[in-house]
Amino acid sequence: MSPDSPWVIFWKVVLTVGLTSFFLLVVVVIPFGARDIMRLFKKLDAARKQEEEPPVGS
Amino acid sequence: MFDTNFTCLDWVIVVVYLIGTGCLGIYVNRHVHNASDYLVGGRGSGTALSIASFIGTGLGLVTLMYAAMDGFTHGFSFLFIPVLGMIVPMVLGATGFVIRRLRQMHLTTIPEYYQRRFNRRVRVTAGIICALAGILNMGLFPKMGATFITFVTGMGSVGEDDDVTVNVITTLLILLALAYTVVGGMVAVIVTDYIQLVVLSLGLGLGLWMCFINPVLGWDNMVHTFAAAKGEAAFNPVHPQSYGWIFVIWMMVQIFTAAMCWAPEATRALTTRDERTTKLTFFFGSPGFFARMAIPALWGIAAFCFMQNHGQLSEYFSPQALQQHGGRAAEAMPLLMGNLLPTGLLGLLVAGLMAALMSTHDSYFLAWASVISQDIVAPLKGVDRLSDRQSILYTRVSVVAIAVFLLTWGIWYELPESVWTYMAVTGTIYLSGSSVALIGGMYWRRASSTGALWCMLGGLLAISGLFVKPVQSLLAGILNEEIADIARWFNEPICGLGVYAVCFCLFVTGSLLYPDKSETLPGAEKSHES
Repeated sequence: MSPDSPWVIFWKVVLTVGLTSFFLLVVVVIPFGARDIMRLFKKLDAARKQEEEPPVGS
Repeated sequence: MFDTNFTCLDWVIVVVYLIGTGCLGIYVNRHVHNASDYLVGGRGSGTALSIASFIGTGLGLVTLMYAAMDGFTHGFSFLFIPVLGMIVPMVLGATGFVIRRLRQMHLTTIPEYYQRRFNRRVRVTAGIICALAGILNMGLFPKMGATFITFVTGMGSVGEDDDVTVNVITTLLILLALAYTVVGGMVAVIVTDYIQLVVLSLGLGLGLWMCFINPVLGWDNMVHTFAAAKGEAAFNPVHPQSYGWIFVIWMMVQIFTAAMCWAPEATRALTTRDERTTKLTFFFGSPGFFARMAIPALWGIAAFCFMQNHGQLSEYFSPQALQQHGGRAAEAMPLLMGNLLPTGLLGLLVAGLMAALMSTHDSYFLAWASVISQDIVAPLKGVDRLSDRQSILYTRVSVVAIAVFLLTWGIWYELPESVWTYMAVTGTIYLSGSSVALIGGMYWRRASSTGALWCMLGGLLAISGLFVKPVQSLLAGILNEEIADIARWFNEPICGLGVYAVCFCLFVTGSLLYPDKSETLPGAEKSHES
């Protein structure tokens, strides 16, 4: 099995494509993920406040 | 003792990191106000956070260990599993097959679907089988984590009994994961998954880079070493001396069904903001499913190359030694990392992986405990949903019960030769029946409760897969060679695929023979409308 046999080339291409997509994804997800965490906390706290407020007219 | 580059500085980094994430869990808990927040994070995850959490859940130390183990023993052939792991969520995300409808139904757990579509009995059965399979599946997690820590830190030794060290670390890990899960809940899981993705993607990349630039390792050396040792079987997964066709087909089915029904991953389809986010999460998260297994598999391949060029270790990891002690393959990757990475960076990687172990544990603890509280306790109490207080209480009690089981199982059960196969077998117990009932229930109008119940119970046949190897050894000693050969033909992949076929037949037969009385079947859309 030499480095230029079909199986070796196949795995080389698959690894290059797969790992490049992964690291590109990570670069995008990190900043936007941090923004989503802040939004999630705000949403949870807003939902709590809404639950605590007495219904109008009661 | 095996010498590694792990020093006091690395221990400090690990301790500070773990305390930091623990404090974060307590801080995040301030935002948890009800059962929905605790179990599904208030269904408030945006796309980027959902993707991070989706990848982070699977990017655990255990995944790294089993992928490295199979990379070490099977070489490049193992990479077909990460490839499948990438294609399946991509297809599900692009088509929305099953996952879109699951999100539409506003479910808390997957078995809840079975009550809406079929009846309460099917849900309870699904819940029991799901919890049984899931808890058995994670039975080896703590031991795998402990094996990693023992050998990467240099506490492991050649030819000496490391069981005590591994068992003590196993216990400590379970206690730590337990405390974190009980305090946090799903919001903490989502946030730690995110941090884990940040730290581990850096650690994975650096670890891989160090393998490629090392003069003893490198791509060409890895290829040559495996080619010399195993020939084409190290590159071609369908080669008879590698996994073979049956195993590959079983994995195709298994990975496809796991993406839809396996609670820790599938729950991510339920926690997103809307159906579009669910689809985007699956589609864009797919490279993560490739990398989380491909990178450690490459570490395993590099470990094989490293051990072959190391006098003392080449004997310890020789094929003969591995035949007698199958679980020894788990020690190779941590030893390589301990020797390859410099002090400081090693501490950061171990800290990230330990946090990953915590995150995987709390994610799994929470997934199976939710199934017990929501799908077994609630229906048996005769209520559709437990109150918030009851829900959190039963979930926490279940988490503690699971931890006790893990402690016992982890200490007494020895690591098998391939942890991946063990996990696939235990996964089949639930996935075979539940996936047939899930897909059939959504897309076949004549699917009935009896068919669903029969196929769920049919999945229990997969338990036999756990006893294949011991039974084969027993028969080899009693029967003549010809009959023992026939017995050898019945292996885990045959058993796994056979159980899927049996479940399908039971589902169709049960549905045709005993149709539900209701003319208008409560399908996904109807439940959503109601």
